[in-house]
Amino acid sequence: MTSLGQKRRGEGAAIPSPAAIASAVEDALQPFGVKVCDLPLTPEAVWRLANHNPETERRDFLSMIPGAFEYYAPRSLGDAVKFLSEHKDDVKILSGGQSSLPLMKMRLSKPAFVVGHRPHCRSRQNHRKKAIAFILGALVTHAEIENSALLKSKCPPLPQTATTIADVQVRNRGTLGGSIAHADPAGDWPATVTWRSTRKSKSPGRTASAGVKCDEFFSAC
Amino acid sequence: MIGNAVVTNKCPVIPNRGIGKPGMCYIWERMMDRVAQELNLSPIEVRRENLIQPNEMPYRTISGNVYDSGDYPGLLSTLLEKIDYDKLREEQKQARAEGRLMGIGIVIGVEPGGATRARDMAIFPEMKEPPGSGGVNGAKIKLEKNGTLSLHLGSPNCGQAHETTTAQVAAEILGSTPDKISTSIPFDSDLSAWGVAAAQQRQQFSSLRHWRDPRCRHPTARKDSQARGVQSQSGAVRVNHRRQRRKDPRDSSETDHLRRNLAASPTTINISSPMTWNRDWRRRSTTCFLMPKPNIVPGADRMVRAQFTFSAGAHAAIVEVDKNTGAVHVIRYLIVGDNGVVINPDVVNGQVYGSAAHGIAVALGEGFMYSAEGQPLTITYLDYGKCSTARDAAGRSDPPPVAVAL
Repeated sequence: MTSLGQKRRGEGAAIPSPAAIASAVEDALQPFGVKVCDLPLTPEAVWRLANHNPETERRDFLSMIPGAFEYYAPRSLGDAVKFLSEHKDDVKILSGGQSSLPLMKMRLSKPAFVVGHRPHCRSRQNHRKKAIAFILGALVTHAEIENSALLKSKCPPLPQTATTIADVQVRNRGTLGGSIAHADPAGDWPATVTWRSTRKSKSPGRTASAGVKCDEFFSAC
Repeated sequence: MIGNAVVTNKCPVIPNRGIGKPGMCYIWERMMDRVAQELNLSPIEVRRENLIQPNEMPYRTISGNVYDSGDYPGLLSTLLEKIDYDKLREEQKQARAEGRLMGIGIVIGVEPGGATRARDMAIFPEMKEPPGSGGVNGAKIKLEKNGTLSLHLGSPNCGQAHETTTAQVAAEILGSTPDKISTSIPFDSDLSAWGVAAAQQRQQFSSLRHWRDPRCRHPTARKDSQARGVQSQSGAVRVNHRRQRRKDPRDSSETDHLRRNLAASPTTINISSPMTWNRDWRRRSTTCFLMPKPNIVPGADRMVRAQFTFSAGAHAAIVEVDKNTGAVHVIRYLIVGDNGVVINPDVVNGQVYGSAAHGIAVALGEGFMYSAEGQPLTITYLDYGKCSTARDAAGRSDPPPVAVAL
């Protein structure tokens, strides 16, 4: 076919070699009567073949979607607080969903109920200057903080922190309140908001307007 | 036969080399093992029974591809002989008696080649005639003033040693020696001939076919009027077979001089020769050689022919498994290959070693791993190749002792 009689060979040895190794490993494990089906033959996979019969083990493959949950859309803040106090530990509040949804998709978190408070619950407040303090609503997104000219001039650590969070899509969805409530020690906001130890509002109980100090809030988490 | 198609939301194919062929070979060869187990036959006998015989070559598969050549039973026999298969089985019995888990795997597989145009057309089905990409490759040959030759190749080298092998072939055809040839890959369409991808089969098939054409030969190689095909233009030896029958008196003295010089001593070209280097160097020519037109979209006959050469290799893997840790140790690995005509054994051996390491790594360590809960476990480079060649390269375990026999 070719002028010199040359053939393509470069990848040639990559083609039969996986089968050769699998065949040899299956032959080595012949005393256990197991069959090699899947690659790669990592030590763990081979150990399981040699020490268990995988065909008798139930394989529990779950998909990359969250477990079943019930979604509750509260009509008001009071409604939400009431629902939360009824279900306590088995409920997750959905804010921007940038931390909680991945955890649920990976089944690290399996709440029975999810309470959404966007857009049904009207607690959202835009940041505004009030005397010497800023009031930031729980649903202010990272992007809004990042792009606020007011905060950039008066309180630069907040926009600076927001800039470091994940990527634009996450910053557009993720919220300050959700991030603080999630209280991931590796999160970006806890350190910044603890820095001035300003009073943050926290509303897990009925005392929705009670102020809580950040360090106390995170210690309680 | 019943086929099942399975849909998954996990990453399904992992071999980073061989584009799909390791998977096909895996199924074929493991089926041979299964058949042997079911029928209580030797895996060797089952394979021997099913191999295409040399007298059936060229062999047309049921789907339309044509295996050009090969002696597969011969490869298998040579492999078994070289690895001393019967003795290995004896050793295995002894190992088992001692409680050691030793295993022997013998497989055989082909590598199709010359598929580039087929791939281009698969990627761009609207492309009736492939333009200057993929399936096209070329080289420019230039005679330098010091008498050496420069090859400007059209495709880059990514480890296949294009420079070495093309220089060897050019030297043979043009009557020089590889040390008189400098090869460069400008990767610049203004300096080199067309060529895009680096895959070795293209480089070899396209370029070498080009040079092997009688019209491309150097005057010293062909002493007839076809030598007129080689023109000396501004120091460049250019191939222009379209002009070969059109005698151009302006070139005669120059060409004759060149011919005399090279004929007198092909390896020591007189650099002080009074050649004139003032011809219109912009004149270029293109010689085009194409593989047979691939047939990748099945027609009414449902036949497909996308590849044109089939090299083959018989592999023997001898492993030992540690029952307590699950670690697989490759004790010996032997490959007997039908490589076609070998231009440079070192280059071929190097590629066979490299690709065998790739394949062994695929078997032992590479993969997108998921936990039982479906959580991906290999999400960064830190997670890859925990027991594969990556670790070998870091010196934390012995590389597989691969041996190659041509």
